[in-house]
Order: sequence, then structure tokens, then C-alpha cells
Amino acid sequence: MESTFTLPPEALAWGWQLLPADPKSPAGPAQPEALVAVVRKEVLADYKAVFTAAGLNPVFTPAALVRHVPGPAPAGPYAILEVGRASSELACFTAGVVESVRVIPWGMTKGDAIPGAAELDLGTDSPRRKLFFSCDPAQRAAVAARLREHGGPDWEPLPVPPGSSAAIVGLSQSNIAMGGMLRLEPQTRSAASRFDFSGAETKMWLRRAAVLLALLLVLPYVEAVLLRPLIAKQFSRTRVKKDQLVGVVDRELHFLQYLKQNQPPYLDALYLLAKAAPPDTSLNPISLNRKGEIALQATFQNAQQVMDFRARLNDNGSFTNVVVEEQVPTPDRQHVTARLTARWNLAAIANRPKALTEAPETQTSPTSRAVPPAGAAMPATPAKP
Amino acid sequence: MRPLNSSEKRTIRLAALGLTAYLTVFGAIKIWQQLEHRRAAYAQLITAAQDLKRELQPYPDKILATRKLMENFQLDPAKLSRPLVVAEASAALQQAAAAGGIQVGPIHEAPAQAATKALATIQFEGSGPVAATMALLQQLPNLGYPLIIDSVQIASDPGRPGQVKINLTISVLDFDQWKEKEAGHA
Repeated sequence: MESTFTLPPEALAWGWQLLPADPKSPAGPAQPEALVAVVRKEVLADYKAVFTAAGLNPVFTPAALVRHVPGPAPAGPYAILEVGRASSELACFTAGVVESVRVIPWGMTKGDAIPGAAELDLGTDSPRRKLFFSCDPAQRAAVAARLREHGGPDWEPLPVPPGSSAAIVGLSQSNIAMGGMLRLEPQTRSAASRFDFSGAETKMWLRRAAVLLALLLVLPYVEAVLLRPLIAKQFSRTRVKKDQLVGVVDRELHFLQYLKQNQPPYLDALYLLAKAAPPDTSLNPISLNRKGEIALQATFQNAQQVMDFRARLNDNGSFTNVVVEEQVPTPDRQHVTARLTARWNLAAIANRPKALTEAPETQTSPTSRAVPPAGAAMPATPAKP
Repeated sequence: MRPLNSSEKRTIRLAALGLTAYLTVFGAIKIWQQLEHRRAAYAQLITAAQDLKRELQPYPDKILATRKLMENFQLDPAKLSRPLVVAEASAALQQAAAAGGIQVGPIHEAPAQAATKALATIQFEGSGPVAATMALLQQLPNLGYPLIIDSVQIASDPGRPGQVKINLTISVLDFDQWKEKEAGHA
């Protein structure tokens, strides 16, 4: 439909309304028919600006659609000519439903002869069509005279009270619900074009948005220019402090960690050796070093205790490579002296649960061996730290 | 000088407009480039500051760990004096042994080998009750000096009933080697 207009749709204000079904329509009774009204957008814009400035929200509709209301409303076809100064508006109706609306170049001051029925294109029912005219009630006689003077058809005036017009009377009497009325509205091509930026409040918000946008763009540069010297100074100060801190802390921490990791748990090792020794065993001497080597000499009651001692050390998990280098009976054949070497696992002993080292000794009698007799070997169980 | 005709005036006006537009655009571009350069430098500085912050993040924990170790060992490495540490450690060792009831025997000090992290080694001999020797073994790391016991030898003292002889080889660590090491890492 847009292609039938001489102007682009966005330059038009237009509306449409469904017409009652016509059984005689060539398209058939089931095909709905619509009335479409189109007017240049600028025509409405001026009026709208006036009404909007007055605080009103105007709704536009073609006045020709309701001019027939004050008339006699004949059952057949009829036409209403609204006579203006330089032009007139001709609306054709059938049974109260508008068929067409046209503007013709004939008025009170223009045109010599009113066009005939054929020129007016009153439709196929033109011979039977009753003709009415409407105008300013004050000029009704003059208009009637001009119509008669120019030899036009036999026009009847519409009854319009003084000070009003057929359109106003029709609008006030038609009882047409606003929702069902044909509305002329400017066409919009996109959603964005529906926004109206002309309002004062809208302009204020647009200005604020523009200021915020400008701040958004400018602030990173302002921040860089203003804050960079301050942050650079703080950064260099922090860096110097960091270098000092890192130097001191890392050095001291590594040193102390090395010291801690290289403290062999001699007391724990001695405790485990004493715990593994059978009762009444003398360990003398004992030698341990940081490399994990143990050498000891012990006096046992018999050879079986040597094997038991060795087995306990092996089962302990803290000692490995237990070797009995020499095992000889004492001269009185009452005891057995053995010389052993082994390796002790420093990490395993250091990480043993302390509860084990603090458990009460039940296998041996600490009191009986806390202090060795004169010339005797060192007791198997060392004093608890 | 002859007056300029309208065509020449128009040409001069256009030239002036073009020159002004060029200078304006050129100046704007220069200013923008300068600002952009500053902004990039600022962003770089911020990134460096964030990196520095990340580098410093583990240090509160490291400081806590260092303090705890210092308390455990009763040792402040910063207060160690390299020329005096061996003498002071030896004196502290003898004092602790004597205070525990150990009769101090011969003591030998020797400079450590270059490959080790030690400054010197101390060979300590003493004799005393078993409990006192064990207590000395326990006290040694906490004397306030960086001492590591390299070897322990315990044997009964034939001349003194109820007592044992203890022979310790102790390394005195050289804190300066950690200074050089950290400096080498830096």
C-alpha cells in the first residue's frame, strides 16, 4: 500500500479502520474491508504543537467521517460536500458508512462551475445518490446561492446550529468510542525515531548523559596525569623497602630453616636405642653423627638378646643397615659383648610423634640404670630430656 | 599593493581555513598522543605496582615463620658478629655445660672447610651425670648461636662412677654465606 502514496511513509500520518462486512462486495462477504486515511505529517504537526503547548494530548481523525451525523441519514447512498473558501471536501456514504473522501478544487472563491456527477465520481449509484452540503452556518445562504448559480446538482444543506460545524456536531453526537475511531498517527520507521528529544527534561537528561560520557572518556587521562607522579613516588619508596625487606627476611628465614633442618634429633635417637635394648643391657660407648651413622658397643645377657636388639632396631623403621660387626662372650662367659653399626633415619626420627618418645618405659627399669656403677657401662636408657 | 579581488580573498580565506583546520587536527592528534602515552605509562605503573603487591603477599607469613624460628632458637641472625660468634658460642657452650653440672674438658676450635657453610668447628669434651649430658644436648640449639652438632659420642667415665663422658663436634654456621647467597640471587 505504501507504494500507492506519492510520499514516503515516514512523511505521512495515517490510520485505518475496518468497515462493516458488505455482502455485495466484489471480494465477497467474508473478505474484510478497511478504510485507510492518509495525510501529510506536517499538517498535523502544527496543530499538535499548539495543543501540546496547551497541555493537551490531541487525537486526530478525518472530520469527513462524521459530518453525516447531523443529517437525515438516508438509507441509500448519499454524498456530503463541505464547502470551503478555495476548495471543498466531498465524502460519499452508503448506509452511513463512508466510501470515499476527496478534496475538489472548487470553493466559495474559486471555480466557476461545480463539477458534475460524472466528474465528481460519485460511484455507480450516482443517479440515486442524495446530495448534501455543509459550510459555515453564517454563510449557508451564500453557499446555497453559489451552488444554484453554478448550476450544480440539487444540494440540500445539513442542519448545523450557528457557531458550530457539521464536523463538531458529528463528533459530539456520534458516540464513537475513542478506541474505535480512525486515528491519524505519524508513521515511524524505527523504534529510535519514536523518541522525542524536544522536551526540556529530556534535554536536561541528554546533557547529563553527555557530561557523563565525556567524563568517562576524559577521566582515565586525567587520572593518569594527576595520579602518576604520586603513585610513582610511592611505588619507588615501596620498592626500596621491599628490596630491603626481601633481603633481610629471605636471608634470615633460609638461614634459620637450614639450622632447623640440620639439627639431628640425637636425644630421640638415643631414646629409641635405649627402648630397643633388652633389660640390663649396657650401651657403652655410643657414637652418632649428622651423616646418619651409629656405632655402639653393648653388653648383653646372652646372644639371644643381641638378636632381639638387632631385630627391634630393624623393625623400628628409624634404623637401617644394622650390622653386628663383632659379638664375643665376656671372659667370665656371663655376658656377650657386641659391636654394632647402623644408619639412623634423621627425618623419620625427627618426624616421629612426640608421644612415642614420652611414653613410659616398661621394658626396662630406668631407676636401676640411671646411674651406672663405677667402671660399669653407660645405662641403656638415657635420662629423658 | 593592489587591492585583492573577491576570488583572491576567497582563496586566501579557504587557505586560512584549511591551515587552521590542519593545525587544529595536528595539534589535537599530538595532544591526544601525549595523553595516550601518559595513560599507557600510568597503566604500566599500575601493573608494576600490582606485581609488587603480589610479590609482597607471602612476606607476612614469612616474617611470622622467621619470628617463630628466632624464638625457638633464641637467635637473632642480624645480631651475630662474624668475628666474635665462634668465641661467644664457645663461651656459651662452656657456661651451659658448667651450669648443668658437667665438668668441662678439653675444647678444640678449628676453622671449617671452605666447602661447608660453617665458620668453625668446636670439639667439646666433658663429663658429668647422664641427666646433665642429655640436658646439654637439648640446650645446645637454643644457646643463641647457630650451632649444629655434627657428632655425639657418649661413653662411661671409668674414673667417675655414675658419670659419663661426652664428646661433641659442633659446627658454628656462618651467616655471611647466606648474605652472599641471597645477594647472588638478587
